[in-house]
Amino acid sequence: MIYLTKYRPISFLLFLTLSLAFIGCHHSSKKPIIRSFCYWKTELQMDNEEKFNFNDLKIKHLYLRFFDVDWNSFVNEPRPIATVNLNWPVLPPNLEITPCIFITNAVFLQSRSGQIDTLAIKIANRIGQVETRYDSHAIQQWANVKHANDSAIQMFLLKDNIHDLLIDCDWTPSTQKSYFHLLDRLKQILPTVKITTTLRLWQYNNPLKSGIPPVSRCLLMCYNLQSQKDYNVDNSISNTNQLGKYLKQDNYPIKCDVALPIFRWAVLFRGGKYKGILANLDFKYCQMDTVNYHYCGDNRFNIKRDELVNDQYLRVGDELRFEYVSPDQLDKMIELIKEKVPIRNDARISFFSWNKKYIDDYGTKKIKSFYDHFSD
Amino acid sequence: MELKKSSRFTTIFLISLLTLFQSTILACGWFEYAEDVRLSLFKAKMGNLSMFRPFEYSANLYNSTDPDPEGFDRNANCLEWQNKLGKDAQLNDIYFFLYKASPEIVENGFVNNNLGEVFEGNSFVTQILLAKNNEALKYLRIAKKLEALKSEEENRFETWDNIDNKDYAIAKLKVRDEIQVVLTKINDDFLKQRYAFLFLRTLVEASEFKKADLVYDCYFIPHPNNSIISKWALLFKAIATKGLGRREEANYLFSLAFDNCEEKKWISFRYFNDSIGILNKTISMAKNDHQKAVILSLACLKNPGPELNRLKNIEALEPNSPFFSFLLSREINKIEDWIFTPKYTHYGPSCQLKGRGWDTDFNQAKAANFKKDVQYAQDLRVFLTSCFKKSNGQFKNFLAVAISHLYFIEGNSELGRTYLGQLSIPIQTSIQVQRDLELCLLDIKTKDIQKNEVKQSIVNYVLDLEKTAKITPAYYKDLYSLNRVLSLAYSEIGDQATAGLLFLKAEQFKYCDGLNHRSPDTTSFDYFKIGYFDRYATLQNMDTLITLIQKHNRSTFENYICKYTTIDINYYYDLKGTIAFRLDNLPEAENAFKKVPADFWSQKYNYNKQLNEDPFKPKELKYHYKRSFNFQFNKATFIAELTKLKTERLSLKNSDSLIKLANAYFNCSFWGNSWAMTSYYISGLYTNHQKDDYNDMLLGYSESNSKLIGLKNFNECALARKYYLLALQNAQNDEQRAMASLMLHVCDFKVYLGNSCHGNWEKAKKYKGSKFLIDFCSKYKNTTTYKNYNCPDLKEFL
Repeated sequence: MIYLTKYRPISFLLFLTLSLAFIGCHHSSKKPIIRSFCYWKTELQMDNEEKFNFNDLKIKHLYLRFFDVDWNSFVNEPRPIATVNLNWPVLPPNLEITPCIFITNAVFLQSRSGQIDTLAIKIANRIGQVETRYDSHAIQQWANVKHANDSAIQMFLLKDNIHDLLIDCDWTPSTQKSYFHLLDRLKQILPTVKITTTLRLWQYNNPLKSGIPPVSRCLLMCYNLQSQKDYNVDNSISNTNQLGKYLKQDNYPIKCDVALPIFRWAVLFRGGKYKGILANLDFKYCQMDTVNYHYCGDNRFNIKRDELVNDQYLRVGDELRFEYVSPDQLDKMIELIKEKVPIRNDARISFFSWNKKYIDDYGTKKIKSFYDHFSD
Repeated sequence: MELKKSSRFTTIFLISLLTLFQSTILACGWFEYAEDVRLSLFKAKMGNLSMFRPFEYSANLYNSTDPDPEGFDRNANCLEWQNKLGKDAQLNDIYFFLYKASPEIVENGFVNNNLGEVFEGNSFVTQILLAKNNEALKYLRIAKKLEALKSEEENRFETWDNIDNKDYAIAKLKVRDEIQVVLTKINDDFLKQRYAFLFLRTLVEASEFKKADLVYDCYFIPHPNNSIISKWALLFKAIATKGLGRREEANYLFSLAFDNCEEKKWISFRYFNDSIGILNKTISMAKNDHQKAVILSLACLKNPGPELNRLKNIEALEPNSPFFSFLLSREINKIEDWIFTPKYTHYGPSCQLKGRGWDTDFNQAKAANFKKDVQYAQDLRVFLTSCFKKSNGQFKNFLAVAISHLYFIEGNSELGRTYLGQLSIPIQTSIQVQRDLELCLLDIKTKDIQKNEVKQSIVNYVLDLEKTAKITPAYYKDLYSLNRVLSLAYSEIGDQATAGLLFLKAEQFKYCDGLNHRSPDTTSFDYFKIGYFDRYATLQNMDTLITLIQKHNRSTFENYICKYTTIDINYYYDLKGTIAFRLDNLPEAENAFKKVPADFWSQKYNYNKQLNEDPFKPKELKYHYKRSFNFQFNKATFIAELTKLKTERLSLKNSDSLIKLANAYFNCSFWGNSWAMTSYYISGLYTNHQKDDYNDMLLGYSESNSKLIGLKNFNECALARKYYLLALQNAQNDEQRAMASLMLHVCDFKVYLGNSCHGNWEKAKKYKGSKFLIDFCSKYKNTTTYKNYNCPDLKEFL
């Protein structure tokens, strides 16, 4: 008591200072997220408007699909498919890039363990080939255009802007072992590159069943939560309710980056039975065309007249369900993710996927607000 | 009362149940491919139209992607080589070398100078190794080199070593340069044209369209001939023309390529542009009516919708068009799909659109479409009838079966009979098969299908069709479709036993590959084998079915419908008992269950994990006693006990008996421990508890079945509630009143939770306890029953 009385003014000041410092820290610091996007096309191309949007959004990181790997049953080994064609100049300087390799689950179901080891080497080599091709083309083009300060090309080269690798696979309990083995092998073969993996929500929600991948970073994919073939689903892409069902625990042992959906499509049903996807049909177009389409609410239209649309013969009584995640829903999803998911301090917040149509749907201002929402 | 816990347990229980069922539930939901489900009975064709296989009507984008399955064009090429080299070169040896020999092996043969050894015995190689055929040898080496380079590129799979096709591009350039040099020097017209073709093709593949255009004009136009090479070259000229932006001209050339070569039909079709502006201009380029008819035919093939107007135009231009009969078959297949598939399959549960502002539901739309489609079928038939009058020969035969089939579709089968009688000999095989099928359909529609002679006649047709299908697997779809038609015909006259077995027969042929995808195993349980009867069979139907299965001297028809469609007879007795139980016909139920061995439900029964608790202790009160899962359930004994309790309650108005009876019915509901008495499966907690998307999709959902008292008890505790009320009314003491009141609350709450809340716990919390709960917690709070079963959760509803 005497001690306290004697030192009370000093201890009070100390307390006050510390409190103020704490409050200051707590209120003034925003979470430093990294603005990212997923680029999933086979050809890397952007027109001027897209480049403008890219800069406007201040994107610092890109998940860039390099190639897929699927099982080739003719030769009984996994083979690459649709390797990206990177055209220079498209990518801005100093853009951090994570090459993405999508591997089908069939590869792990069919491969023997020796083939997995070989696959890791082949993937690493293939990534190198893509990098080399792009970089050598970039250097050549640079040399044609610029005559001085050749070293400035360095900030455009892939080899200096790639520090990690994303392996994308919807592994199952039966392929978990093989898949995790591939990740381990890649870590050995590429010691200077961080190996990361995608995480589907069911894997996030069932770590005991799905296993925890041997990586220190995952990209949590918060979309395609339900089957689009199910008539009774409102929105198979994503919504807060469905997301909430998966995000029941907040102690997943690996800190995550997050990918959110900004794509859209129309699902066709006949008598409640799934008939296909129409990716190029526009909601507003259907809304305006009241001769052929009747809006029933809940983003559903009935077909009023038989019509040929692309290769689909739409008949009277058919139903279209437009799926799209509204900005409000995305904001709510972000809130939920922030609450439930252990996000990294330097988390990459990404949107799937880069497409002029999708960007226009939301507008760059709104997409920027999504990024900001994460950092608040 | 542990309400929330019970729901969690139930949810886990349901999830584990799903794993017991043999099904193809995929990770993202079960579905069937539309093409597997589609019905089709019309297959008559004029001649060998194998090259049209990609264009046959299909729910898939293309029926097949094999452009010339019988190799007409390749055989024509082989014949040209034989004409060049002489008859010593056998056609099959030529075919082998050109189309089957590995380019790598061929090149090694050249490099090592041992081609003759490598292909020892091949008469074609023997000929080309002769000195006089040296130029041909050089040509073939180049052609095989290009083949090696082409195959790697076309594959969607890339190689790990070649990210950049630059290697291939450079190698191809080298070969192309070689060809260009040879072209300037070679005199042999046969080889010159072949070199020109290779050159043209490599230019098009490299997108050098201007050069390709010139090459064609230089080497093919001045020297027109009927060789297969010149016909193939036309396709590449068309591609080059398109590449140069001359769309209409390219379209016209594609139509010529489509018309003139079999192997290039599919690719020409894919390139062909049927948008109306370009189409009209393409037609204006046609030099004669035949070419116009081809162009219109291509446009027809592109449209999966109605095409009668265009067909009329084609007929007017070229009545004997080789495409016409094929297009007519396609049109009939479309109508079959629009009318038969919804009629004979269970696809499309009612799509309730009420309340969405759309004032029709799917059934109305379906009915509107049906009317439209039948009218369309009539319009097509009228058109075919007009063609019939002016035709003859095989085409007239074809039209006769087509008209008869359209009458069947319209529902006027008898009118089609006159046309079947007008077929003239000789009758082409596919038309003959179609005629027999039409006669079978006539029997189904116009005769008494219960009569033995009619059944014999029908099964004769079906067995003949099975033999045909073994040779031509496409007829499995007819077998599938015919069995579905037969099934519905027997169903409409109330013979669900035969209808169900025919339904299962249809499933055997559904996948058009001749393999029986349904298990032929007749002993193990497969719900699908009894699912149809579970939904639609009456007790009488079950008696008929059981008698048939046990019959020794079956007729041919009976043998046919029972083959691979039945399982252990005890499952049918069990099903009969279950149906009787749903009807609350306890004597019939007991009789049926008594026929089953006593240990059936514990030893062999698929659901022994669901019937292993005391059915007279309501599952809801399980927390008060330790649950035991060793109960040896015997359905016959259980029914006997229920009967006894019913008798007791009538004579003595004994509330204890009534409570015990009510407990049993509670346990036979969705929420009880013996739900498998009433149903073979349960589904979502918060929907119609007996709905099963997988089986309902395949077998249909029986609305009338769901109204049976047993199923009303299953879904709403109807019988349980009835007997608890009676128990309450006749109670002799407060213990009985307390128990009856408590269980009445349980019934009401469960039904409210499941059928009104749909899992919404916020809504569930708003449940206001009924008088029964209030009485239980107030009037009977001094009873032992209250002390045993009062649960803190109950207070939430007071």
